[in-house]
Amino acid sequence: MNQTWLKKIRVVVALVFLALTTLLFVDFERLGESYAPAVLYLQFVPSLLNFTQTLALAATGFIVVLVVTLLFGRVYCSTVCPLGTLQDVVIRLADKIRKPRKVKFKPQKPYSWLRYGVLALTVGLFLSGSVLALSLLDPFSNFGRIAGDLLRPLFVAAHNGYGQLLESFGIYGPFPLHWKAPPLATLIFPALFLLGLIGLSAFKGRMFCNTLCPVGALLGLISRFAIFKIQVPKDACTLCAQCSIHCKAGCIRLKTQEVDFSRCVACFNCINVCEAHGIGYARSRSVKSRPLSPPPLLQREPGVSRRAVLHAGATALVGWASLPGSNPLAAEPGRIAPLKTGPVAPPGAGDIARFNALCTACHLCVSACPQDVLQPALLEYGLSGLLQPHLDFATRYCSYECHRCGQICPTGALQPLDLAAKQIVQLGVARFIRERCIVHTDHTACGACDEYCPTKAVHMVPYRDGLTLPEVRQGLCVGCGACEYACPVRPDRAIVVEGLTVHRQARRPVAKPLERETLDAFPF
Amino acid sequence: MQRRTLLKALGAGLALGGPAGRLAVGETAVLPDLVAVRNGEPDALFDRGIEALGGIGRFVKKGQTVVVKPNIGWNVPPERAANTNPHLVRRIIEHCLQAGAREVSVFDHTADAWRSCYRTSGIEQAVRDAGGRMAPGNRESYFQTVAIPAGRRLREAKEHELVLQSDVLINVPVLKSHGGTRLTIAMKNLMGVVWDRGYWHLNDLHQCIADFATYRQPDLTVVDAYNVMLRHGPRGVSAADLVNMRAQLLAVDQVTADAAAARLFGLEDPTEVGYIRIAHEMGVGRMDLENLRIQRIAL
Repeated sequence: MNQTWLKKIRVVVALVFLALTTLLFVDFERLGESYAPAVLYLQFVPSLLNFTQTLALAATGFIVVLVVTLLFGRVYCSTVCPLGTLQDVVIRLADKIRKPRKVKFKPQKPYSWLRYGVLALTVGLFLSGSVLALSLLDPFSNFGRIAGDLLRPLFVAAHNGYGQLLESFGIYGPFPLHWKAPPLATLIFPALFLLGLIGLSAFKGRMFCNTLCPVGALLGLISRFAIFKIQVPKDACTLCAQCSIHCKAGCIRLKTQEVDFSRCVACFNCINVCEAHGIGYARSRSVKSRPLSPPPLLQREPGVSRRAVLHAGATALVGWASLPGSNPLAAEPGRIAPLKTGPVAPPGAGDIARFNALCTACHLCVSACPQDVLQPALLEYGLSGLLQPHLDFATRYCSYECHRCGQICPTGALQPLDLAAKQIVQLGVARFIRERCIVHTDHTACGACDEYCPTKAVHMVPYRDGLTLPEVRQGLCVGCGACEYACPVRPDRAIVVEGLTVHRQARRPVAKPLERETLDAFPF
Repeated sequence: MQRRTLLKALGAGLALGGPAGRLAVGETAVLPDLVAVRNGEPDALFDRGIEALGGIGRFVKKGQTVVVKPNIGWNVPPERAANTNPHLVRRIIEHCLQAGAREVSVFDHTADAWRSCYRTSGIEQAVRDAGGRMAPGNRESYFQTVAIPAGRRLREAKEHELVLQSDVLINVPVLKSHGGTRLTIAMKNLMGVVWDRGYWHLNDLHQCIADFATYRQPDLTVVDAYNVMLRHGPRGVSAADLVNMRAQLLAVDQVTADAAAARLFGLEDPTEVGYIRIAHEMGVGRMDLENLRIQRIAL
């Protein structure tokens, strides 16, 4: 059976997914928006989380992944998963740089305690209300942060540099793209993760996928029961070892001529290098005729469990510290949210506690925000909300005419609101501090806050000497932050938005008809 | 100022081509200071108005570069009239190109996110359709520091390179109410060619607007009063804030344009708008409409 075509298809599909997902994060406005739902559909963790929120047909991608896994194993890991393909790219580049070597990969230990421990912890913590472990380990969200936080600024710089070159010849070509630097500390995690991932994949292949990745562990559990598995036909095998030394997952044991299919990422390298052209997919019941090797869970060597326990313990510490009980912002049931200076969560978050428990900080909304007002949080939401997006009104403000973040949020942490509904969501309430206002302190006109306010919650009322002073009508305020952004007073602005822990509804502005209608003659 | 206007009018009269060229040389001396047109669509109003003001050829010569500066400040559609009417922008560019302009550029340093403003306002499309050039105005690197010697509070500003380089500047504001300065019309619209507006707000906004007006008088000001936002300006909340005036004002002197627009808006006295009074006092231009030649046209 010749299955060498499988790898060709696999590589093409993987590269397409990688390219599309990357563009989604680096150039959402011009390219990504058009196809975002198609690429996001199959991403496992976002789809699963979204489904728990919406039960929508559009969120059933994870079921497709589960079914495919039950049929053919972890095909997901080498096609749809952008982080998987990113590792493959690193492996290829590393091979170009370093001296050619015969043994590309060595068989790896199954580290079953570690991977299933991580999986159990991630799931357990998530069910108990903390998304932090999932957020830090989910492959899609990690890829999002790498592409959106690290690659996007480089892309924007290259794009705008090209634009400036054209402009030096008097051509206004591609308009400059915008990017607002997030707090530097929020880049530490994606940067460290990327470095670790590069090191791990260059030397150990897909080790991340078989130790720390909760999706890899879960799909691995399922692929144990796959109907078709990659198998070594013992009668044809010449023991050339090619399959084993090309296996990125290190999951082929030559001694027993067995593939640990729970760790196989379905890269199909083995199929193409097999001298006997024997290795490949076969119905898994044909295995039954062979003596079963003990399941990988029992194969573990003495050192492994200790290490796994240490890892699990560390993860637990991170997780426990961030349980909602210790989250100062968690809303108590039945309590009316008081006005307080807190983080402002994006429209569609609804209850910040709910949002914090669901957002895996993939930063797609941050990349897609046309205003750059969405920025990754440090500890604004508490540890559990690390890197989740919040509105930073020093950067920009939330556009009244935009509801994109809720539309594209892949996990459903931000619920999609149609524009009319989003326009009356109150994220926070503006508070005017008269003692700081330029009209009060300098006796000169300003009105920048009123100018930007889309609902006229901020409006100008007569002050003295013909001057006007801002006034806030709280019921009309949507907390978009335009007033705070526009206020020229420094260092402390004269109008600030105080975030709500549970979003409310603002009054929709009512338009009274004007008295004048048309112009019959000029008044001069 | 008056002498310069007269000289300009005379000079233009001599150089006229096109329909206005039919006028005898002597007649050009009586070109109006202000043309007020009403009862028409924005493009038809401009066709008639510019003809009365001596034709576009008076302002744009063959081979010149032109900047048309509409208000594109807000991410709202044309029917909300928070931005200059796109049909008017389009018509002005067409006139300029017909007069032989080498290039007509359009930009604004917008308040809302600029890409959204350019698109939603309909102006980007209008500029493309007319054959003009839509230029970005959202990055500090496009702006260069210029001195404003006559300024009292505003002694320097960062001005967009296109305005510095171009031969002709046509200011095309839309008439709107404004919470901070009562009205925004022509002089205030020029806040969109500078970078650091926060400084203006912090340092006597009315004075800074008048100060900047001393720096460069646009060659032509066209006030879009087709739909006029009578309240909730400059952004507006809904189309209910508008009155459909179907009017347009054209002038060489932007203080005159602002004064007339203030009257059109419904103010009894243009001095109610601080920057108009200050600009008049500083000699930037004239707001005393009663002493000026006004041509009123109804289509």
